[in-house]
Amino acid sequence: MKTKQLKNLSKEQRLEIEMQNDMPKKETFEHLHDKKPVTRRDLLATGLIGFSGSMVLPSFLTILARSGNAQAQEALCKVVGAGDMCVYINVKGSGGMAVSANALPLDRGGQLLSSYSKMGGGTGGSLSVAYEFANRAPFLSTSGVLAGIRARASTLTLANSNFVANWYRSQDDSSGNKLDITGLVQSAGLSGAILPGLGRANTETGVNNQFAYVRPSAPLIVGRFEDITGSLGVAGSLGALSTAQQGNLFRSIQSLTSSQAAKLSGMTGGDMLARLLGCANQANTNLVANSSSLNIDPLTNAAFSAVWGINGNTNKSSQAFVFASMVYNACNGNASTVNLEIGGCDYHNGTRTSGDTKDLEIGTVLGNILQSLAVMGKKGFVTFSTDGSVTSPDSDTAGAIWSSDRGVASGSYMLSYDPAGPHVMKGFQVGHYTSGQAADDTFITGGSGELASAANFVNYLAFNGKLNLAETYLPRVFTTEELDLITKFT
Amino acid sequence: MKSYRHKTLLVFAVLVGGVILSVGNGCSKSFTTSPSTSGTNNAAGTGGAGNSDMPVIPGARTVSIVYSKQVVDQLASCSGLAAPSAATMAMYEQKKGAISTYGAANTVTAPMMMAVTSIAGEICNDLIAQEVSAGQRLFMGFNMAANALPNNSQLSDAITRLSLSCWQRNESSGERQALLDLINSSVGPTEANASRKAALMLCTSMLSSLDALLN
Repeated sequence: MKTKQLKNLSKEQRLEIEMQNDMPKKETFEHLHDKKPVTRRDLLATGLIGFSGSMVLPSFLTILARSGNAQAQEALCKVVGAGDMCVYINVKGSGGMAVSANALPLDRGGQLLSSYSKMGGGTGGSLSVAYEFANRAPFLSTSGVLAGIRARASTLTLANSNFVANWYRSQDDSSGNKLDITGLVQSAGLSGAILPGLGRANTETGVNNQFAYVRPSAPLIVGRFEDITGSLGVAGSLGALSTAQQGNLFRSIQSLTSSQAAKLSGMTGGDMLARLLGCANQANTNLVANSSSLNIDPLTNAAFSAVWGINGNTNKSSQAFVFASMVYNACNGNASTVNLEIGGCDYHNGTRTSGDTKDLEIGTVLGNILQSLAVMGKKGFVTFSTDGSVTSPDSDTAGAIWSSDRGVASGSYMLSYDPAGPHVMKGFQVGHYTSGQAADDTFITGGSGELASAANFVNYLAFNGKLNLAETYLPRVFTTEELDLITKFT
Repeated sequence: MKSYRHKTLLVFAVLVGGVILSVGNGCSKSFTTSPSTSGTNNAAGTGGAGNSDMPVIPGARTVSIVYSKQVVDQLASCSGLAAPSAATMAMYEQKKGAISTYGAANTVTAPMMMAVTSIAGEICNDLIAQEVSAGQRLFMGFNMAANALPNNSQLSDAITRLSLSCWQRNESSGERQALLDLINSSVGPTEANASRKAALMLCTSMLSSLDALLN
C-alpha cells in the first residue's frame, strides 16, 4: 500500500497493516531451496501444482485455427466445386460376386497362389493369366469383368488407366458392410456445382452399404433421369411463372425461412437445420436464375452418349441412361460423388454362366466409366466393391460352378484414369491372399471392410497428390508405415 | 540472490508457458479438423460434408422437418385441401427421390427444398381450384379469373389466414411486408391471371417456408 494512502488511514488501521506485514510469510520455493518439494503439501506450498494446472490452455495454433469458424460463417454456403480433387465414382455389386475370380489375388510375396481351386480358377497349369492396364494387373484370362472393360474402354484409355485390387474379408450379401467412402471423399473437398452426391438406393449412402468413418451428405436418389432434372428446377403449376417470378419466389422462401429459423437456436439440430435450409434456398434461388445454362443431359454430348449406347429413344429409366446421366454429371462437375449399384451379384446358383454374365455386365459398366472419363477428358478414380464373395466346389479345373458364399475371399477394385497419362504405381494389390485361398486378415486392412475402404480412400488421396492429408481426414487410423504399405497410387 | 531466483523462476515460467501455448498441452482437440466434425464450412446440399453428425443438446428438443409422403399430407392438411389432385401426387412421385426419408436436420439439401417447393406449388394450385369450386375460405375477395392483382388488404387477409393454418400463429409484420413485396414486385397489376398467380406465389412461399415444414 502506498505511503500516501497509509497516511489517510486511522492509527488502528495502520497498526493492523503493519502487524500483517510482520507476520511470517507463507513458505515459498525459496524457503524450500535446500530440500526438494516431494509431498503434495510441498508442491502446493511452492505453487507448483497450481502453476501447472493454470497452464492447461489451448495452444495459440488452436486459437488461430478457431478463427476459421468465423470465416466459415462468412463462407457458409459457398460451393467450392470439385477443386483439384478428381471425379469419384463407386460401383457397388450387390451380393457377393466372384471378385477374386476376375482380378487375381497374389500371395504376400506377389506370386500367384498355388491353387485357385475354391475360387473357380483351378490349379497350376489350368490357370491362364491375362495382364491389363498400364500397371499390368493380373486377371483370370476368362474374367467377365476384364472382358467387359476391354469391350468398352479403348486401348488408349486403358493405357492411361491403372488398376489395384484390395483384398479383405467382408460379410456375405450384407448391406451392413462399411464400404462406402463418399463421405470421406466429400470431406476431402469433392463437391458438386449444383447437385449433391448421386445414389441409386434409398439409403444414407445411396447404395446398400454403410459409410466408412464419415457419413456422406444426403444423396439425391436417381431412379430415372427426371430425378436429376426435377431436382434442379420447379415444374408443374410453378412452371407457368416467369423465371423472374420463380426467382422472387425462392428469394421470398429464403427470407421467410431465415427469419423463422431464429427460434431453432438451442434445439438439437437447430443450427444445422437453419444453416442447411438457408444454403439450400440460396442455391435454389441461384439455380432458378441460371436454369437455361445447365448442362445435365448426357444426350447433349454425342461422344459421351455413344459410350453408353443411349439416344433419344432410350428409356430414361433404364440402367444405361441413369448410369450415363449420373456419370455425366460427375464428369462435368455438376455432382459430387456418384454411387452406382448393380444388383444380382449373389449369383451362386449352381452354374457359372449367370455369374459370368453378371461379371461381364460389371466390366461393361466399369469400361464405360473409364471411357466416359476419356471422352470428357477428366481425371477420375473408380472403385468397385461387393459384399463377400462366392465359392466353387474345390476343383482343379478352371471354370467350376458357383455354389455358395465365401466372404473370406472378398475384396474391391480401384481403377484410375488420367488423360495426362498413367501414374507411376507401387503395385497392383493392397493386402494379399493366403495359401488357404482367403484374404490374409493379419494384414492391416485384410480383416476389416471399413479399414480396407479407408485404404481405398487413401489411394484416392494419393492419386490426387494429397497423400499428406490422409491423417487429416482419417486421424489415427493408419501409421506412417501402414500408409506406405497400403498406398499403391502416386 | 532471492531476486535472482525470482527472475529465473519467472523466465522459466514464461518459457514453459510459451511452449505450452504454441505447441499445445495434449488436452485440446486436434489442430486438424476431423472429418466427422467438419460440418461447418462445406457446401451444403451439393456434396460438401455439410451435414455431419449433430451435436446433441441435453434436454433440448430435436428438430426435424417433414419427410417422404408426409410432405404432401402435412401441407394438404394444414391448408385444408380435401384431397390432393392426381397432378400433385404425380409431382410427389417425380420428386420423392430428393426428399429426406426421415426428415432429420442433417439431411436437408437443395434438391429436397426444390422438391418441397414444387409439391407445395401443386398443393396451392389444388387449393386455388378448391376455392374456386367450393367457395372461398383463404383467398377471400380474390377473383381468380381476373387479370388484376388483389389489393394489399385482400393479400394481407390471405396471408393471415394461411399463417394461422400452416404456421399455427399470426404472421409478423415483417413477414407480411415481405410477402406483399413479393407479390407487388413480381406480378404486374394487369398481368394475365394476376390474381391466380398472386395466390399461387403467396401460398407456395408460405408453405415452403420453415414454419410450415417443421415436425
